[in-house]
Order: sequence, then C-alpha cells, then structure tokens
Amino acid sequence: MTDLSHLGRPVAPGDPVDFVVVGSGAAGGVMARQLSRSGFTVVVLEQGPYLTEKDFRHDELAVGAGAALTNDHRLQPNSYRKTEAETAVKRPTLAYGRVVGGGTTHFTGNYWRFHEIDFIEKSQRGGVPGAEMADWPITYAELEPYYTQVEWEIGVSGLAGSGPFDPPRSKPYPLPPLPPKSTGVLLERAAKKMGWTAFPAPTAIISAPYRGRSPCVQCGFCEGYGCEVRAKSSTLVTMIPEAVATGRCEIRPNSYVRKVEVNAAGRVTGVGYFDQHKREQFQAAKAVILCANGAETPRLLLLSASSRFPQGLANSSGVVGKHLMFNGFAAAFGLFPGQINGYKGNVVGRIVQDLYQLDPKLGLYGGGGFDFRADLGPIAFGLAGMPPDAPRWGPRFKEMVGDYFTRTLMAMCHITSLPVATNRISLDPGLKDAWGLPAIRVTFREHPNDLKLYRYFLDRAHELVDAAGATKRWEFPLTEESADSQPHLLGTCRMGRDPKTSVVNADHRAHDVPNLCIVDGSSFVTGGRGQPTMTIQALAFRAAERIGKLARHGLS
Amino acid sequence: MTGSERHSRRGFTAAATKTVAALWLGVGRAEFAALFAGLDRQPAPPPTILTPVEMNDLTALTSLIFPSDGTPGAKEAQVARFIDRALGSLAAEQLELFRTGLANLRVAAAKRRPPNPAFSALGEADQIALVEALDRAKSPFFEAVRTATIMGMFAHPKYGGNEGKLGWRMIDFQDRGVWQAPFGDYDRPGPSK
Repeated sequence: MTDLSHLGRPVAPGDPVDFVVVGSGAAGGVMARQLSRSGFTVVVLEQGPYLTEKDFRHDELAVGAGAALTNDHRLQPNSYRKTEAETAVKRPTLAYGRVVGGGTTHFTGNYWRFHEIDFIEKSQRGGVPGAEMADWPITYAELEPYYTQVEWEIGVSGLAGSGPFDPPRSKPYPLPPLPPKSTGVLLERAAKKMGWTAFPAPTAIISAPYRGRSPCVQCGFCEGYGCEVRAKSSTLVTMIPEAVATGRCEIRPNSYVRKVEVNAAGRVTGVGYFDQHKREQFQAAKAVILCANGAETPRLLLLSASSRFPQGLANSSGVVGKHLMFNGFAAAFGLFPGQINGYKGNVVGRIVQDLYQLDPKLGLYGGGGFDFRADLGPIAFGLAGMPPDAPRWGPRFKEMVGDYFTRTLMAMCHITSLPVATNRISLDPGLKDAWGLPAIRVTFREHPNDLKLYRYFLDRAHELVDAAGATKRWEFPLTEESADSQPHLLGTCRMGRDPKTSVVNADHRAHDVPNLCIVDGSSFVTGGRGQPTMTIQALAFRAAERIGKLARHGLS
Repeated sequence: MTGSERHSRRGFTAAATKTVAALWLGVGRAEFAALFAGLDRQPAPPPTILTPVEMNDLTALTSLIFPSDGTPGAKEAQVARFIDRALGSLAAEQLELFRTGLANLRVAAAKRRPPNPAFSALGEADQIALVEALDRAKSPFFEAVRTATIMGMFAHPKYGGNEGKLGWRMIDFQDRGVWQAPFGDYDRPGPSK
C-alpha cells in the first residue's frame, strides 16, 4: 500500500476542522504549521500534486513548456487586456506554483526584507497621481521579529551588517552566505566603481547543514526548479512536514477550491472544492484562511459571490482584485571576455541596494535594487537570450549562441511598482477553465511614473554592466503592457484600517467576514522593491500568532 | 508576433521558456511526463507522425537554423526526430501548422526549380532564399519551426533531440549534479581579470 503518512492524519471532508487553509505555499505552509502547533486542527487544500525531491529533474522542457511545477495554461487559461476599454484576449499572463509548497518549491529564494520606508512611503513621500499609495497598518518595527523568525525557522543564508542600507535586525542570519560566483565578483567590481556596495544576497537556500537538511550542492537548478537535495528552504521541506508532524494537520493535494461557503449569518462555514477526480467535495471549518496567491485569492472571493455578498465575498469595499502589482522589473545583458557560467551554482550571489531610496530631486517615486545573474537555461537562452543584432538562424546564429551562453549575464533591476486601481484581477466573462469555472482576467498597464523609474534603473544597469567590464550590452525592451508569466502577484486584497478602502485588517481578518482570513501576496498595500516572499512569510508568522490568539475565543 | 518580441523581460527561466514556447503548451504535465518516460533507454523508432518526405524537408529546415558547418548542427543532434515525436504528443496541436507549412514549402520548391520534388532536394542557396522569404513574412510556420528547433537542440536528450548532448556541447553547458568554486573565470583565486 502506498505510504500516505506525508499527508498527515486524514480528516473526513464532512467533519469540521478549526481551520481550512487554501494553498500550501509561502503563507499557507506557515499558517498550517503555526496553527497546528498551537493545537488547532487544520486541513490544507492545494490545487497541485504533492511532489518531492524524487520527482524533481534538471529538465528545462518539462518545467517550462510542460508546466511541471506551475499553473498549466492549457487547463487554467488567463486572459489579458491593457485597459478596461479593451476586450481581453487569452494569454498566459500569470505564473504561480501549483504543487505542495506553492511558489516556494520553484522559487530562486531571494529573501530581501522590506525596509522601513516600504511601510510608510505614502506619509514620507506623499502620493502619486493615478496610484493609490497608502501606508501599511503595520510598520517594519512590528514585523521585524517575524522576519527574524522566518530566517531561523526555514533557514536563510546571509551576512548581517553587510548591507549598508539594511534595516535594523534583532539577530544575525542562522547560516553564512552562499558563494558569490563570477556574477557576484563582477557585481562587486562594478559597484565599487560606481561608489556602491555589493553584499551577500540573503537567500532561502541553506549553505550549511540545518535542522536535518544537508546544504546546497550548487547544481544550479534553483530558479524554476524543485530542489533535488532539499537545500532550498521551501515550505515543502520545512513548514509542511512540521505541520503534519503535529498530528493535527492534513495536506490534501489535487484539491481545487471553487467556492467559500457562508451561512445566513454571513459567517464562513467551509469551502467547496473539486478533488482529483473532479468530484465536488465540501470541507467544513470554523474559519477559512486564503493563502492562494495574489491572483487565485481574489478570484476565489469573486467566485464566492452570493445574494448576501453580491460583489464577491469580503468585497463590500469593491477593492478585491484591484491594485495588482507585479514588482517593477528591468534587465540589461552584458557579454564578457571570460567565462561566467551563471548556470552553475546558486542563482544570485551578491546584490546592490544603494538606490533603494532615490533622491527626491530626481522626480521619481520609489527605488530598487540590483543583482547580476545568468538564469536562462539553454532553451530559454536560445529563444530569448540573444542581442537584437543577432541573426535569428543560420551559421552566425549558431556561432553566437555557442559563444555567448557561458559569457553572458543579466543586470537585473527589482523596482517599485505602484498600486493602481485599474490594474486588477477579475473574472473573464467568457473564458472558462477545465473545471468550468470563469478564468482569471488580468487588466494591467504600467503606471507612467513606473515606466520612467524602470528606464532610470535600466540605464544604471547598463552602467553597472559597463563598469564590470562587458564588451557588449543590450536590454529587454520596456513596455507598458504586462509581460507573460508574471510570478509576483501582489496587492489584490490590500490590508488597511478602513473597511471602505481595504479588504483585510492588520490581523489579516476580512473586514466583512470575521472568520475569514487572507494571508498572501494579496495582503500587500504596496509592493516594496521586489522579492516579496520573505515579507509574505513574515506576515504569515505574525498573522498565525494573532489569528491563533483570537481563535481561542472563537473568531465569529 | 512571437513572445520573445512581445515580452519575456523577466529573467525567469521557466517564464522565458514558457513565454516563447506558448505555442508548445500542448498537453498537461502528467501526459507530458508519461509520453517520454524511458524514451532515452529505447532504440530510436521510425518517425511517429511525419512522412519520410516531410522528415527530410524538416531536417533541411532545421539544418538552416543550426547548420552542420564544420561542427555538428541540428541534423546530427536529431532535432527533426524531436519535433516528429513532439508533433505526435506534446505539441499535437501544432501538427496541422507543420503539415501545411511543409506542404507549402514543397510547392514553393517545385515552383522555384521545376519539377523539384522536395524542399530538401533544393540547393542550399535556394533553400536559404525560401526561408528568408518566410522569415521576412513573419510566417507562423517558420516561427514554430525555429522555436521547436531550439527546443530540440537544447532539451534533455531523452526527448529525442540533442543527440549525444551535441546541443549542450555546442554552448558548453554541462548538466551535472554538483559544482563548486571557481564557477567561472572571475571567481578564481588570484589576480583579477
């Protein structure tokens, strides 16, 4: 008989549990572990399968075209439009983890903390026309203990005090940094010339043995792949097994939630979902916690509209799905005389944050950071890694791909993106997924200020690449349209004190529904400077503590 | 318009692959894995879906993208075999596009050098002229052939292309489980380069 012990003690779907957690990723894994450790019974419903290191392969085709770890657009299509005036067309706009562990299973593990400014930028810098900037209802100081908790509970490698702009921290990293590699050495060299500081990238990959796991072997297949040696600190190998070990948590993979059910009193009673055979099931719960990511969470709330909640559940404000942020992004490529071999080893070794807060005199809003990496695998590089002057086929194309693959890197910029009300997740009126549910429709157009900011960062990225000694450079073009396969999904159920302008309060409870909580990228008020997963997990540790305390007295 | 022109600005391996490979999102993941399980341990079967004439023309096309000009190209890497298998499985939705494209190419070849029976029978200069015309016209067929050729060149050999890891050798990529410093020329100890 198959061993199912990794799924935990089974709960009959009809039996009510204390909490149903929808999603097993960065936030869902933490909620499950913390609440089950606090004595509550928990069922985690995950859309995707339970895969382990034995299932993971160095297989670019399966991971990319085959969607082995992410949402499969053939089954769950998205549609996209730039503005509300347009009719959306089918396009693979969003990419998210669809396995136990969610996005943490395939992420790169860039674990930047937010800085103080990220929570109070509105009051410090004022607003921007066309964007709904707002202060968070919590500050960095309030979240700091939970950032530290993330680092020590899951295992994050880094060097405390090495970043000149680092926010205060109460404890050093539990593990030393990963090696800089050639990309990191070149970034150090370039940063020095620019008068900046490159420092070890905080990374959710263990550099030394930690809590029964062995360290990274530098195979190079982090970004986009599942870790074959369990060195990546995904919830799959940290929080999930620890939740199951309590004996109070069941992980139920291949369970696709279609509706959050409410009773006549307006309280959540559980969730309806499709099991792996597409049979409809119901899991009763005293409270429901949505950790389904910044796209699937608002979609589920909209799908859960009822006569009592006609605009969608928890949406009296009308802001569910709005303020979608992807994190600003730009990249310059550089070709170097020597071998960089970015495909070997951990993806990012060093980062620069000297432009985290720009001089207001520049007239730009926000800021960002840089890293150097070469993360395009052979197929992706052949398809998308070559400069614009390269022929697309023939002897010279062949020669250039062969010559460039190991000698090219990207200066990646991770930048502010503003919360814009018209950038949003909604239900497509026509397009359906393979279960017959309305597909996610994305409406997104870059704010003009952001495009200016991205250009500013891209120009600096070119300077960094030059300063590092590149013999040639080029860039990904900037467009006001969204790129495809956006992996950072933020802001769509924003947190706030005012029920008229936000979806959840500072405890992550829905303003409209006392026993419904939302903890994931959708809770973000603003997007920081990229690299959101660390903050998602810090929020989750904090939320679990607060929700746990409240639940002792009953959330209703 | 191809995805690479339109997007893929986020350097996310899977994203970039997926973006430009949108045409190849042919099957779900379970089927995908099952289709190719163990293929690497089996002798090469005959074409699964294309005719010998189509295979010859497709081989000629892929050879124009990665020519065998002194070093191995798409032909030696068995890229056409990868595409043939894919058209019978993970990229089944592309079969008509390829069939029609190859048929049109045969007609164009016959017009160019009557009564030439096949694209593959044309001289190289004529082949290049025909493909240049397709590329200029942004032919979806040629875009699909180009995408599939790059995939067949660089995907894991178990999928039928990248024979003898020739594609990986071409770009000096080595698939190993473990690496250690120095990873490249710039993190070697000693004087900086």
